[in-house]
Amino acid sequence: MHLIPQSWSHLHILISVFPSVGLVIVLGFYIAAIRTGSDFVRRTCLVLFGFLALLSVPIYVSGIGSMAALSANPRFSKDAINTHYDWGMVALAIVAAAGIAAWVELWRSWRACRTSGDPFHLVLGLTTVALGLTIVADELGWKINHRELQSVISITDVSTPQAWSHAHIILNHIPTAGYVFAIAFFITALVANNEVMKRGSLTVFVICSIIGVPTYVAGTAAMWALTQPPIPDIEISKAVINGHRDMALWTLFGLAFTGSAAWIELWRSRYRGRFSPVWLNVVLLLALVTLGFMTETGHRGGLINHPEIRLPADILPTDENAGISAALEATMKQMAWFASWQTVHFFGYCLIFGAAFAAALRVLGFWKSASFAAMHQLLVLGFIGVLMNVVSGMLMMLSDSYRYVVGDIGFAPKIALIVIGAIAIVYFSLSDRLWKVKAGEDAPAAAKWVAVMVLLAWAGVIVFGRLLPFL
Amino acid sequence: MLEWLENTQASAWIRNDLWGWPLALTFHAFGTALVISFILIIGLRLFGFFNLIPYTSLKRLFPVIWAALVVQILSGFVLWITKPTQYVADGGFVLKFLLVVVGAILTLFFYRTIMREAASWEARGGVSSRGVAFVAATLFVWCSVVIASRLIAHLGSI
Repeated sequence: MHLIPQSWSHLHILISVFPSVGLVIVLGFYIAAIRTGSDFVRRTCLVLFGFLALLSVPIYVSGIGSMAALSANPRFSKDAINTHYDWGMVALAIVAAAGIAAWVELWRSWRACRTSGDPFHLVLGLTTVALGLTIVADELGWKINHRELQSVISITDVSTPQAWSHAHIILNHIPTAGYVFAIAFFITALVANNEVMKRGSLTVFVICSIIGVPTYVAGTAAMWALTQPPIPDIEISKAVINGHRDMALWTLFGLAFTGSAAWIELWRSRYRGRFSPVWLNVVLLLALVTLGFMTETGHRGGLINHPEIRLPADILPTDENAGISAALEATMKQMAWFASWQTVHFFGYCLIFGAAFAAALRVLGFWKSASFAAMHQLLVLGFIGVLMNVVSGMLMMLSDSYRYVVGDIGFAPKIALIVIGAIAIVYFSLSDRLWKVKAGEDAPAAAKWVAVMVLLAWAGVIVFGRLLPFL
Repeated sequence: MLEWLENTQASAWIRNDLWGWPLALTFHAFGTALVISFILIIGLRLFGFFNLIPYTSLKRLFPVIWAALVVQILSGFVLWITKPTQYVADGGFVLKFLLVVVGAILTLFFYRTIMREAASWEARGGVSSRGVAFVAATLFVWCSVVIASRLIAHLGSI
């Protein structure tokens, strides 16, 4: 396996998603900095906007290099390449302009010894436009190679929708590239001892980890979408996919550990009034190890459908029954294993829904005799439930993943609602106004909306989950 | 009597309708979630966790538990009526039903204990051993109900 790119195409697909994912995260921090008035966070964002602009140089060079290298390859359509090139150029130009605007502002504020500003919201505006354009360019870039997404072969009750493959391609970049930026912010926060940035980085770790769940599910579905029935003219090996899936399992556990550690610290720091330095270092260590797993997972994933980046020295797996994933599938088909993990799944959803319901009772004003801080303690039950159900749900899906993804129209909405419900719960540990709500006091209106959303999302998960076998 | 029930129109409708059975199951799932989790929350509070929640404010959770139990009885009856003869013949189901009865009685007694004693627990900052024993037993029985229900689904004759 060669992790270090040895061709322009490989380098291009490796770095070209960093601007879009990076812009989302840096913009998030930038908006948080504006709202909290933290000049340090704001300056860090300006620096990073500049770095993202610098990244457009290797992206451009590697893109031109790949065009030259692939021009003779009949696999890639000239039209698709040209459209991607045009939009890519516009996107890179705006990314560069945003970076220049950011660095000019940084330099001016530094010279004038004042806090950084954003005259006419120039940086905010340019980076938002750049984000939109990079997403378009990414989409058009995937079109060049991923012809399976345009596949029109669809056999009722046999073909898994290609929308799953598409979702997997989009989703898998969020934890991978997202962790790179989260780790960069986190290390900066630890070195500079900045509380806002620590909290922000922990939140990004949690969100990226939660997105690992739909990534894994969509990946499993994509496997079926690509192999059953096979797509003409695209050679996909189930053995290579299994190699990728095995590494994805390690990633899933890495994300679970890192996301859990980050969430626990966000939750616990509320009661201690500060972050624990030892625990923060544990989060950093877990994040670095997980990033290692994700890098290898991403690389193995790339090998599935990118023959142009393979080297003659690459030895690809050939046995499609080898590995942990295949073994787990066989184990989970046994009724005793399935029934046991389903029981865990039942207790897990009880914990999640109970915590969500208690939160809704308190925030909506039906349980005012307890303070918000008291109810906040209960969220740990929901957290344990989510962990139980990610593991048990993953195992149950493996027992018969084809059946879950091919015809169950309730499965995709269920997974989407899990993501919404889990991310929304983080809000309860982030809002300062909500934290100060004492016994007998009314919660802010914004929190009430979040509580309703959390409750509806998890109720939806139960509805779709219980209807799954019948749809 | 059971056969008569099984032959009623209502029973046939739930059995054959596309939505009857799944809908009742979904309601049953919500009831399970609330009964188990709220008893667990109260139990863990009495064991000493979640110490910021006043004992007296736990009373507020009981209306939810009662409502959930009503949902369970109604949805459970709807599910049961589809094939009462088979259910009654299934040992796992009989066990589960007995556990439900014991669980409901325990919950009621436990509720009376908490209504009477919560204020004194709050005053002296500790729970009576009677309260702890009650909540532990209630929790144990309700969790057994969930496990029994999974065993019926996978092992039994139904």
